[in-house]
Amino acid sequence: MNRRDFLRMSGAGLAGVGLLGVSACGGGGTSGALRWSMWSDTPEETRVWKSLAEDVHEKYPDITVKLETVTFADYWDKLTTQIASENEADIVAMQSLRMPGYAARGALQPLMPFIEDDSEFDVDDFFGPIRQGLSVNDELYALGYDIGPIILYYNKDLFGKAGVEPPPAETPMSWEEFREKAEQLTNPGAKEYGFVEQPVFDFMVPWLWSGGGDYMNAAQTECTLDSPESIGAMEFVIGMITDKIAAPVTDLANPSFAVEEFFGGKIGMHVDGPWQFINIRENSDFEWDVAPMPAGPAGSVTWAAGSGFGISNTTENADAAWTALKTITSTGSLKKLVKAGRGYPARESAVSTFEKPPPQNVDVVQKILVSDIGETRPFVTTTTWQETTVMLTRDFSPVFLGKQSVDAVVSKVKPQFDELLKEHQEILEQQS
Amino acid sequence: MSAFDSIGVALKGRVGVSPGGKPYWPILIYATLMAMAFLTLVPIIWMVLTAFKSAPEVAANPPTWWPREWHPENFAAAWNFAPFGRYLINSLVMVGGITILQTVTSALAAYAFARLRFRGRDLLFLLYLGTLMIPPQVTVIPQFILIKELDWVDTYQGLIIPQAFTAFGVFLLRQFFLTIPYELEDAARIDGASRFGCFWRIILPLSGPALATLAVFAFLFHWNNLLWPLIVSNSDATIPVVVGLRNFQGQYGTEWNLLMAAAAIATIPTVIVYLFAQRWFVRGITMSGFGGR
Amino acid sequence: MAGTAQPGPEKVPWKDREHEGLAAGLFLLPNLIGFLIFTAIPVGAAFVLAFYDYDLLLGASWAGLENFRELFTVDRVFRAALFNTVYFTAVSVPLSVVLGLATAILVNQALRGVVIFRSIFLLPYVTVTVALSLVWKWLYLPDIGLINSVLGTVGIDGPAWLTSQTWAMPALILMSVWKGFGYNMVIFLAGLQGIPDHLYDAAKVDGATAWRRFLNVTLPLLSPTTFFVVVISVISSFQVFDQALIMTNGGPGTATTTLVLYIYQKGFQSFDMGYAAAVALVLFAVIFVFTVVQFLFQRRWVTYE
Repeated sequence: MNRRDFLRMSGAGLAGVGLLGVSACGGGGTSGALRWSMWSDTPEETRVWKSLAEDVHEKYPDITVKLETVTFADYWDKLTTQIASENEADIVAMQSLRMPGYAARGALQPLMPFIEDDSEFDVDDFFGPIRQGLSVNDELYALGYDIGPIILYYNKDLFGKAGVEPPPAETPMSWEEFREKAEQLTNPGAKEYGFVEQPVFDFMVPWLWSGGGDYMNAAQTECTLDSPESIGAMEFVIGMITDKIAAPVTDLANPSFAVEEFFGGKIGMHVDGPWQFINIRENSDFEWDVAPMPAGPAGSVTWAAGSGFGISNTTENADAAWTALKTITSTGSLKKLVKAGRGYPARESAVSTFEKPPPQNVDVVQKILVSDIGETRPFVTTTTWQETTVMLTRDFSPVFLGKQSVDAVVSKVKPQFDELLKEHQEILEQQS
Repeated sequence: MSAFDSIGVALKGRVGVSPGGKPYWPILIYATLMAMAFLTLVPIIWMVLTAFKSAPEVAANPPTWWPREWHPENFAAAWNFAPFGRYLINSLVMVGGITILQTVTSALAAYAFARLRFRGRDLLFLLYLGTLMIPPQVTVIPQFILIKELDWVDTYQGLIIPQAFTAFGVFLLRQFFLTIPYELEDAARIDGASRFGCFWRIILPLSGPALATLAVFAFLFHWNNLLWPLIVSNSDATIPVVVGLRNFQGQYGTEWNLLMAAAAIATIPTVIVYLFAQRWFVRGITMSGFGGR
Repeated sequence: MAGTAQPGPEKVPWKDREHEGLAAGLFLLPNLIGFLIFTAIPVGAAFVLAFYDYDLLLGASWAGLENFRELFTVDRVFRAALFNTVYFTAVSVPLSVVLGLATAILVNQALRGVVIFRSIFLLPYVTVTVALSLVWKWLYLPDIGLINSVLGTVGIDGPAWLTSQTWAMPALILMSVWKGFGYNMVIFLAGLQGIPDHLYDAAKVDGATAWRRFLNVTLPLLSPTTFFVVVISVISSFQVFDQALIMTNGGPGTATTTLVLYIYQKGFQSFDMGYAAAVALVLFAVIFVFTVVQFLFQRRWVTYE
């Protein structure tokens, strides 16, 4: 369950490709009272979303969009309850990570019919990874608003202090170099560490891929955590913890544990998404920058995920919802989100210069996203992903604490993962 | 008397049971209370101190105790983070509504269970008790479906009514009513008082502490109860403070200093309610109170 | 407070008995309607769901005893959760009941400013759990946390509390006792208020020491209150959830996964509401048995007059 939404990223303004043209002859109804559920954690965010809702009304005076927000942490419990009682909003915000689970259970309706009917709508303006991320079985269920790849953050001050060369901006360094730098930055006496890893399985995945491994096979029928490449990758990361080059994990219940450690100024490097730019700026008092993920045996491979909005299956106003949806995710809207600034827009046309640095290397992010540097793959999850994540979190915690070996955990986890993949396949069959 | 003893005498107040015995008892008791209070307060004091810190300082490793610089503006920032004024009103309406509804209906029902004989009484009471043993996580969805059918989603009644009928109030008051001697009512009944008359004129006046206890606990519990309001409220018009506090726990990180400030502010009404209710707790009862004659 | 046993024969004149049913109905009605609709029916629904395979979003299908079979035979997390919950209750209830009683006695003394202490001890209960959980996480930090620092000054090397298989649960217990003893104190206070002064005076006249007075006057007369506190504490301890979620998220591994946390994970995170309801049913049965046992035992040690 990755809370770091790429969505934050999409703020980065779509360069005005006139996709805003919700043209008169495009598809979509033009009247209705709609409800729109979205998460929001600050008044500023809420204001931005509200202004997008108002834009819809301005353009289509017969459509009103009522925004309902809860904090991200609570959004999912609430959404689940609403869907179970058929009370969900017309326009529903969805994360790519959770999409299979909800879409396969019929929460949202496929968007292709609307897209095909709408001659003016260019769905290809949306980055590939977010389109894939918000699709299940090749069926698109939501239009993305943000997306972001996992990248490497580093503390420039610490590097300077230790006299270590910071990672290059455009070339991923190798795992050996990465480890070496981390070692040089580690100073147990001052409680400084070269690296910190969030003890959540999602953040192990870029390492898995860079190491040539994966968590499941392409057919999504078998868990591949036991492959030598997978194990090698995991041992590389965990090895940094057990060799005390990475900070010890002291909190298993905090989704922001690693980034908060990074804020503290005693960590050399940290992997996370571009959505943290604002947070790190606000909470740190040191110089920092970003670089691509270190390159393992299979290169520098990272995942991209994001969020978007879909139309619920139980709405009575599908056409009006589509119209509103197009407007909310239009280039102009996404540009507004960028200015409000947390993330990378899901549309290429909205990418423009992100806010003023830090980080200096912000341009690197888009290059990574389109795989000009390294390789970015969408983070593919299953319909049983929630349960899978809970299981993985639980069973991997001793490993992150350095109390169990990777081998032991994988042999415990694999049968459960396989079982969940079986259930996943069964659900997919039911739905088709 | 030694100085020690004099202090002991000076410490004596008017509330409660006389410490009796040696004159230095009060000092001993006081000392123990102070030590316990200190231990109890350490986490809370740290919470309040955190509210005054800047965001980077809260993230500092190792955590600091005393703020390096004081940021009292955090409280204003926390208050403005979300429409807490409105949330406060919503909380008061919701919790007040639940408290009153629960206290009144529970008192009536508890009287029936404690005093009246009717078929199925004990079985019904057992049913009441049983519902306390099911966690809300599984009852929440059926309850929500119910209020959705009633069109009570995002309304005050949707927040108040489903929560006002838990068995806790009936259980507590029934236990209390059972300890009031029958003689009191018998005398009244022989004089021709109705059941309701007995209830109104005899049982209720004696039940001050129990009613106050129920009211205070209902208030305290529902003030901080998150799950139900989270699901039922959709808009600022009904969101209570407890849901509003969640605003500080973002997707990517928590604004700890603001959260602490808001939590501190949110605690104030509950403390006021408790202090106010003290009068009923303290009242000595010459006749049967809890537990004896 | 008394238990279910009637303290004495009812001295209601015969002629009034036949009207009891109607009177009872009227008294019960307001609460009963609300109770049946909003409490009893959802609880009933939860009971029924336990026998279904109810994927929240996909719908329900009859599963009979399948959920229970899986629960009891293959689910090792359930077993851990059951153990953890019983462990938690068995330790935290006695601690918070005794602490609550001791505190109540102390603040029941006639001393200046005692009302302030009463409020202080209730503060942990009234403060929002989320904020307190963070502070306690800091207290529990392995090297720099306050608790281990203090232990260090007396030469004890404190464990990594919240990430230790052995110490995570005791850490949760300590925090919960701290948070909850004020609640018990309030109830005990009310009970203590009800003990008439003349009984203490009589005992003093007989030459009883403070300790003797406590044993022979306070404890027995307080026993109905104690009984209530214990029953309620057990019921709520078995349902511990917030702290487990926020402080350790059930970890490390399954060390602090409690039954209600497991129910939440299964119901809201895995969408498997039927299974969650089955676990809730088992939890209900366990609490029910404990409560009944307490009710039966109370005849022995609870005195009424």
